[in-house]
Amino acid sequence: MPVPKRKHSNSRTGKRRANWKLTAPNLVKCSHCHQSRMPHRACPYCGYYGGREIVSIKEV
Amino acid sequence: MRHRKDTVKLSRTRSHRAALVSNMVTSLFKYERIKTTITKAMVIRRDAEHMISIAQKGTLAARRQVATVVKDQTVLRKLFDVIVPRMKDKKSGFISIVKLWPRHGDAALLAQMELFGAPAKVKPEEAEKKAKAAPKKKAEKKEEAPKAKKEKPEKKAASAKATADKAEKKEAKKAE
Ligand SMILES: [Zn+2]
Repeated sequence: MPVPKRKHSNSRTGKRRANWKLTAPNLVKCSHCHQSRMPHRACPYCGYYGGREIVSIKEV
Repeated sequence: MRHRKDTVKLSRTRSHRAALVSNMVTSLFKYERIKTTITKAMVIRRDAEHMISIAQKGTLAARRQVATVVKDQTVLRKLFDVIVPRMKDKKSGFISIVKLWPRHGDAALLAQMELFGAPAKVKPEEAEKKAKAAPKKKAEKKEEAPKAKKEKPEKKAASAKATADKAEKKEAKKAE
């Protein structure tokens, strides 16, 4: 059975994980209410998508 | 490899999945616009579009075939009499899916499925507003109107009193 010869140091773990990065979502402006929203989704603020109201949003 | 793995299992047994599809397709035809997760929406769209395609034949055989999925007789009748005539110029694309937002609780991305030519939606808010506003306005008007009337007569009375007082004073002056 092949087994690790040496301890996997914290440094090596850190170096491997150094390439894990978050990417910012590519937000777009809603054409109806001008809020930032996710592309290809109905606007969660006004419920519009593709120039018409898809869902009605209850104002809290 | 996922080559040619076509079935989305949805963590259900075959019979459970069939029941789910039957229920969801029936709901879609019944309400014309339903909200569900994007994964289910994609699975249900396939079956629902297939049902509409079969229903477009309009034959008794087609009706019986669709009835194996759409088990509600009222909805089945609606599909053949209302929905299919609306789709007569279409061969596909009977259903549109719009992605919404992650669901609270499990963060599953929700989507709305809508039949082509579904009746325009009246906003629940607006309907409520209208329902509430209409009686309120009437009530308010009724309330306001009597108040105004009450106020006006009072004012009139007051002004009349004032004029009367003035007249009395004038008369008194004259008398003096
Ligand atoms: Zn918006």
